[in-house]
Amino acid sequence: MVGEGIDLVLDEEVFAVILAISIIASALGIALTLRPMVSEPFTAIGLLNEDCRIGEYPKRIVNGSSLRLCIYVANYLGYPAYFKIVYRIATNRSLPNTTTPSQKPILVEWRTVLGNEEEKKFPIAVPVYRVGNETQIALVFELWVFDTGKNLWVYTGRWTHLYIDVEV
Amino acid sequence: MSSTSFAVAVLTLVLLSVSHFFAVDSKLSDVDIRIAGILDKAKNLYMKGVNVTDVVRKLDEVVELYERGDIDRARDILNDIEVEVLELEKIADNVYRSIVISKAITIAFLVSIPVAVYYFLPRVYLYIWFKLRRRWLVRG
Repeated sequence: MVGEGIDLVLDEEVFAVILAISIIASALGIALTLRPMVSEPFTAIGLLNEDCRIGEYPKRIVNGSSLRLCIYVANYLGYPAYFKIVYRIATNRSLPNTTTPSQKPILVEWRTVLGNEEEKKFPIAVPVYRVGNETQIALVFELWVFDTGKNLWVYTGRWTHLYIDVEV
Repeated sequence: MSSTSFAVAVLTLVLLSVSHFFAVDSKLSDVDIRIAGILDKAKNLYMKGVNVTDVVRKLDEVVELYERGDIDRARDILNDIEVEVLELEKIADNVYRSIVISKAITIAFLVSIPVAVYYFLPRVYLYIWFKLRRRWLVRG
């Protein structure tokens, strides 16, 4: 304690508690100031209905027609990035996974540049048709990012799909 | 090691070292390459704390124009963005320095809080304590 007179009016334990709180607050503030800009970088892709809302997705469609949907993309990589969304028609056996994209041919692709912590929704229209004899197909949307160091499109491992019945 | 196997090993190493070049997307257009170049610079600027929102917005516009087939307009905007990026690169170091300084000041302030509490709190408390009781009378 600073002086005897102060001891009389300010309890030592109370003072110690206040001091401890100030030290913790200070340490927390310093940690927040020095924290990295992005601790867990990630990207996201989502499929929305034609009104750009979740749910009410079409269940059936006529073979060879066009389907209106909406794509959502988010960039939390910690820096601006160049993305492309790739559309393919796949089946249960040809879906992508987190490491490998689908091997089915690319039908349409859309590109966008997003800043860090930026999101984008945009309406799309995709062709839908039967694959072989399958009546139920998967509309697959994969997210790719451009590696500016290697000048190469890289699959992010993020993808989304919508199962739909195709009527002849 | 025989000379043949040595040659095969060297050839394998050479092929491995250049294999990533084969992986480069053959469909990349010159606009793609320019976007990538600018984006790489924008990324470095962003890391230094420079506001690149406008650059990113314009690049997205270029991509949209390019997809619509308006290549000339896309190239014009790319030229504008390149000039803007050059301007931003000139101020990037100053921005970075000012961010580092402001962080240092913030940390110095935060470090001084417990010290200030230790030194001033008892004195301020005592001052207020006496101030509030200045009209009190002490009876013997």
